[in-house]
Amino acid sequence: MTEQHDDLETRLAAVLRAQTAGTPRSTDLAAAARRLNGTRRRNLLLTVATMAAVVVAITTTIVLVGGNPDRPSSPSPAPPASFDGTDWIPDGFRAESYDGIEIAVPEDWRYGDLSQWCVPEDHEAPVFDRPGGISTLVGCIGPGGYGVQFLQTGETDLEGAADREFPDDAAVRSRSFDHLRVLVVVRGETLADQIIGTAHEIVGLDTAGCAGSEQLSLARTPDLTPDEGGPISVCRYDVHSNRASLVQSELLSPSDSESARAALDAAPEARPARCSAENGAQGEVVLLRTAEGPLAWVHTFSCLGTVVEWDGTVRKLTPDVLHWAYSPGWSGVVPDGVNFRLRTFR
Amino acid sequence: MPRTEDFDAFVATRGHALVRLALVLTGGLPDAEDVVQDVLAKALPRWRKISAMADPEAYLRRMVVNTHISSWRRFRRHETPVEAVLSSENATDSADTVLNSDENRRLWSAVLSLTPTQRVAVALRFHEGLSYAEIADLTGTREATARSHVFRGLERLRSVLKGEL
Repeated sequence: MTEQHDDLETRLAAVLRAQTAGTPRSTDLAAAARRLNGTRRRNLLLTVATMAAVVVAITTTIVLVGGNPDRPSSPSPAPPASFDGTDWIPDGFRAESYDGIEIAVPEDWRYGDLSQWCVPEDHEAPVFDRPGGISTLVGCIGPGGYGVQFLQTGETDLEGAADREFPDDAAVRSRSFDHLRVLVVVRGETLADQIIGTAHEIVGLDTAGCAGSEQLSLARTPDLTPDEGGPISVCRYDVHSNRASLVQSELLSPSDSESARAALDAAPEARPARCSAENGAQGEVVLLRTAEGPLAWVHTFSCLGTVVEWDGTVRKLTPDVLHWAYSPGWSGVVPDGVNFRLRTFR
Repeated sequence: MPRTEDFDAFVATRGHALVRLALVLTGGLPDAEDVVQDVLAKALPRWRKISAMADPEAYLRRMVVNTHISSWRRFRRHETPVEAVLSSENATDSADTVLNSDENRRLWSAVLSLTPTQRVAVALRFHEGLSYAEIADLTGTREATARSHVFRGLERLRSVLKGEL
């Protein structure tokens, strides 16, 4: 019996290897992938545009044929008149920011991945999809889930969403800004209108106290201000050349802010003699700031790996620092293999 | 912005291995290339983060497996084994020797008769040479489940080939 097992397994391995041994090399896989990606991006944007046109057409038709004006209806909430302060955030909603855009979503929404490359088939709960994370489930297909998604409208860096299929009962809304399009897919026309009505460009600081973009360079430490207490804003940026676009923002509670300060104070110093900041053109940094200005930033030194600068010193990243520097929903490669506990959904 | 030169370099060196894995899974070169192109098109916009992972190829292998399984579910493919599906047209001499054996032709046909999950497990085990733990990690299942898929796949192969061995 053992010989039979060994024989089959040996033959099987040989047959599988032989079957693929003569596979001709595809010379243009990368180019083909790039073309396919571009086609999907165009198809998706066309799909969204078409759906928006259909909504307009249906609405117009109802008016033209004189649909019963006395019929009870659920009027969509009017968009906020102003996005100053927090009055624009409906009750039971929270604010989320991405790349210069801020939007309010229901408080109980979690973070997730709505891009077409992976939506579990049983995905039902709406999520806030922030591009750029690492998904543990990849390559799935099927109708997309519910939630808010950002689609890059530029020629590069589209984060995956392609060949999108929407659930049958979905209300779909989208709104374009200069550089990206916000896509809302939810159950219920009123909720869809309510959410898309809150999408706006960040002017100055967002609700969490972070700028929509910063003039940050990976090669130069920003001017950090002395800490005078107060709530800390956690601002995570994606840096391209000398421009940093906001990926995620969070305003820590007063008690969490004190815990974050304690973690920063406890981090050991890391600076050896003469060490320059990373000169790479792109990367991710986290800026911790108060209303007074930037306090600390997490970035990469070429000879030290990822560090945090705080209170005039360069310090090693510790699990406690990362615990506060990365907001719930973050995903990616842990800097320098530091094993830390990611905060869960608030 | 993805670092396209890195992406191109990776595809140039490892893309062929992904196609070979996909070939074992799908049973045909055109389908295999479709799967890999699909995977690479999805990976391209996220390449910066994928390339920073400890093992980008393992991540793409997972995408290939999931894309194949999802595609099978979508189109509800029920491949029927055919008499002669081995292609020795481009095979090396040693591979050609293997492929020209009638027994091995029937074995390959039997592989194509496995369920998608069994075929994935068998391919990862005997083509990619992965451990059960690695198969479990790659397919998102428990190690015992991966072991079970391989075991049942082998049992099915024995059943199909009954009397040959």
